[in-house]
Amino acid sequence: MKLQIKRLVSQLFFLISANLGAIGLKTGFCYPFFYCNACPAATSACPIRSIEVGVSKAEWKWKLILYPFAIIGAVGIISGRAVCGWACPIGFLQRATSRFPRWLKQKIPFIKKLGQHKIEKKLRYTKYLVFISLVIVTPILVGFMFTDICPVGVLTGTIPILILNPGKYIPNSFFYIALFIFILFIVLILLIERGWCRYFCPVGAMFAPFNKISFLHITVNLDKCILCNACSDVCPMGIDVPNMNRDPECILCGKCIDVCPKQIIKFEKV
Amino acid sequence: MRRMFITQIALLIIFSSVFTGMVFFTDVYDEVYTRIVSVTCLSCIKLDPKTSSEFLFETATGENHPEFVLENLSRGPVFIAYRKDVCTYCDEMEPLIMSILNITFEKEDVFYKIINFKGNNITFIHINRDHASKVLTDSLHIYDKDKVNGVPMFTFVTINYDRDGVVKPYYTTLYAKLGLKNDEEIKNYLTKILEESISLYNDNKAGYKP
Repeated sequence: MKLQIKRLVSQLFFLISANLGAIGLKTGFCYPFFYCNACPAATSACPIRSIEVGVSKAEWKWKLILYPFAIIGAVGIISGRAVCGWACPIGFLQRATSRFPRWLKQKIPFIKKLGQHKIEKKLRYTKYLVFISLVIVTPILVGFMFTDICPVGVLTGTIPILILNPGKYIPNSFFYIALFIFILFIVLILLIERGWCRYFCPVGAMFAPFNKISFLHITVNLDKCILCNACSDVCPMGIDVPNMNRDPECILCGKCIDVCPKQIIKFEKV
Repeated sequence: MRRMFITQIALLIIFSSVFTGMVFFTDVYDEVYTRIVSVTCLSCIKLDPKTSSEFLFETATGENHPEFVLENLSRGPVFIAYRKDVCTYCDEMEPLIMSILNITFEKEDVFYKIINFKGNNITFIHINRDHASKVLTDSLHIYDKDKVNGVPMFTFVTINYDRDGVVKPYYTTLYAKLGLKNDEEIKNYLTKILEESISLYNDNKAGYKP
């Protein structure tokens, strides 16, 4: 089976697994990816929500803080950020929308230039800022949480609830802010391939450092590289693949492996 | 290379031991399930349920009214407030309840108190799902008349004659901020429902056999 077909099967499997609540399977685990526990079909808890509840108003419920970190740590040390590329339903959504930003990049040179601008690399630190400020600091200080305005919550929680219960709910005070952020999220993923994963995803921010030490990673045999740049062109995260060396942004999707004409890019397991 | 491998193995052991240890030797699995997965925080879904204050005889699950409610119903109407620890709307609603009933309590408290409200006895029961017993937390589903499965939830249990002429427990449930924006409106609405519960109770208590 081709690698990208395997990845599609994996993403479908995890999408279904994340929604087994629809047949009554609800658990006390945290997802090792981004998915909202307010989804009517959710099986488990959002790791971000667990951390927020744990730190909320400095009440320090250590178990709820440590638990998602332990899950993400155990998965991260094995496979790094592969979860983003192979399991996360929001990553799957962005895979589905990826043709449009690619097409835009070809049609509008400005977008391509913007993607190559040196500030783009700096913008990737935004997700760490989102994680620290909105998942840790504001819940401690004022009780305001990232999940109150989370666009993934709108997509997988609010919208399905509204569809399944027509006329039963009315918007609350956070609704319009969250809806505005959700619209920005949709615009972002339509303009920039994997825009959410690159700049804003707080779960991606938790996984990213594990790429540096994970068992599974991608290597390039530079001695045989012909510098065709096909790998970097195809990379959904916009990484300079030949020089990446365990880049925290790599989601191990394997597109670079598929496209390399010399077949010198491969998964390493240690 | 060797040092990297040792680091990887060490970290894998640490993370997986912490995870398995927490699942098997602490109550974190249940805590995540009850606090986050099983009941929705209504402020988190960015929606308020549209609800009515219509009183009903039939509970949401078809089960009997819980024993702890029936015991207190012999004294007067019962008012139950359900919440979770982390719940923005619960934090906003509880000061209003304290002001109406003229009592104070902490959000973690699980208690019942008989209160004299405008010359009538009512029993106020505060249930924090993160700290209450299973019997108390399960009662949320019994009274979840609109199948919202979320907190904050407020239930008023009183008595009334049913079609067969038997006096039975009669309840209504309201959710979140009751679909109202203004604190004063919320207080007035809660007071109105309490008064209605008391009036029904006083009108029918002669025929009530607990």
